Amino acid sequence: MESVNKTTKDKIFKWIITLLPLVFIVAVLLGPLIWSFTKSFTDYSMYRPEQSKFIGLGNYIDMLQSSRFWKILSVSFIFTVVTIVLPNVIAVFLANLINMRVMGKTIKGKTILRVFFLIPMIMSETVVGAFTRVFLWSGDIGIINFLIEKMGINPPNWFIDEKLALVVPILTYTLIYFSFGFIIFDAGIRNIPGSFYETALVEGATPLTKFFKITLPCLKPQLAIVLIITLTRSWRQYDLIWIMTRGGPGLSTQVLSLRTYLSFMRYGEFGYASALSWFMIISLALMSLGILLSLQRGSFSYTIEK
Amino acid sequence: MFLKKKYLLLYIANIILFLTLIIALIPLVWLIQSSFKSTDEIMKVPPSFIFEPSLENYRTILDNGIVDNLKNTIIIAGFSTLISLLIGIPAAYSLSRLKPKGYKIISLVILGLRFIPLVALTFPLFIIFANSGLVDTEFGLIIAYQIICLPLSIWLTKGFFDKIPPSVEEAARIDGCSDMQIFWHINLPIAKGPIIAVTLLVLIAAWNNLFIANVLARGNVKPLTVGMQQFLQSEFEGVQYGAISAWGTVTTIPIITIALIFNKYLIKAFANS
Repeated sequence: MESVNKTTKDKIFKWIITLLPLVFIVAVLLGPLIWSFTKSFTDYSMYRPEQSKFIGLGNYIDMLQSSRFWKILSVSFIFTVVTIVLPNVIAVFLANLINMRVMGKTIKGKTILRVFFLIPMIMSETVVGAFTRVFLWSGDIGIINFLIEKMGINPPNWFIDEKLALVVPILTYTLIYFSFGFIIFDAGIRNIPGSFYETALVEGATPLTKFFKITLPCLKPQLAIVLIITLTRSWRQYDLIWIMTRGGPGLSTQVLSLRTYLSFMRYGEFGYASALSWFMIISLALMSLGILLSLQRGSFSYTIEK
Repeated sequence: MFLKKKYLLLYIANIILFLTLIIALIPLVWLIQSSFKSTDEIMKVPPSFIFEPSLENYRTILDNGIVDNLKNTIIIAGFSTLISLLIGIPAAYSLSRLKPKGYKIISLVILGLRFIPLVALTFPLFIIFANSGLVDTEFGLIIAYQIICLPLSIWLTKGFFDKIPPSVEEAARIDGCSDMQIFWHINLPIAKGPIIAVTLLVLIAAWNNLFIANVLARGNVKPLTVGMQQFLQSEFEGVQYGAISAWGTVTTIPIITIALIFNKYLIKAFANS
């Protein structure tokens, strides 16, 4: 393959299309990122940057010692776990339904379903968040409280009750993003060779065993992608929660990104915000690794494509 | 008997799927419908389906600068997407086909950047921009939006180039074509469909983003997502439900229309991501 002579022209071309993008990436993305890492060991404040000094692990120690941080971490964690499980369980379920086949008969309207399921995901989190906050969840015209009242139960105030507040962004998130997993699992299921199921049919397997013994193991690469993308999106979640609850009431919906935003935008604490950011990066990397490793184990050894 | 029961299951599955579709479409349909309701009409619970359409809400959002916000969103999202493609396609091609020294590490770093929390990149950029007068400018926002756009565009495009078999360029190579000619005349045309899909995905991400603009746009260059907050925040006038619906409709319709026109590419891209 490499025997073809590489002319100077080819070399120049290679250098240009490699180096120019790289310079941009370093200048705009990588450089600032590393710079913020170095500043996470200082007390850099936006208001008096010239006075900032090195404080070692000070920011990280402050962070780990504050009870507020652990509360925020637990909110982030609950939000992330539920938003990984709930939309994607629905997605796997629906992807199985749409590929159902009985004696050659299949589901009607598959194309319409596949196209229009995309819509909530294309809409901005900001729009869906603001709209559902008013029309689904609010106390005066929200349809959810109207229905609860109809059932004879005293409706809660979703934005004041600290125990319930997190339910609001979680369910809205589910509404927006269940289709993300659906599209990917759907494509995955369509790629499973029919012969896999025929053998199962001969052996008289029930739908449930077919799902756990054939479908799910075959979906491992898709699972890896969906889980990691959902994990990332949830762990760094800002838009939806900001527009729906602003992190309140109290700290009940304040996730890590919101806390970082507030400490930077409100108090100008760049050093501390950087430490929080880097905590988010490292914890995210570790959790992703955990997901990949736990998926790699198991009876079917499918290689996980990156 | 056995078969009948199985067909019944199929029907039930079909019904569940279409019920889910209705739930999934509620935000969009209800949003558009509410945007044409008068203030009295909008307060009705349960919401009415038949009503006299009113343009009151659209007048409100016109008075609140929707035109400027829409213009900002189009410029910022459009140019962010364009730049991320101009930089991303060559970068992806290089990493996928030309494989310069260290391409594996570079690829890994770019993959990592795709998953970086936005806070980690936006705040250092804010300080750099504040020192160079780029906060609250279109140029600054377009650069900052590369936090989302560029890793996405490089990574998705690279995935497509990886799938083109090397055999397609062998004939051209024997004919003495240079690397640049092969890129320009063979691989780029093959990747046209995927590149349309990448364009859409990047555009959607840029169009919908709130966070970066919320940090970097003050008054001048607010996009639609940032502008929407004013109707949730106006504590003195009360929350303006009608205006929220109209503003949301204007924010949503352009991007949904584009996405539905090109839905084939979009579904394929998601399935391959």
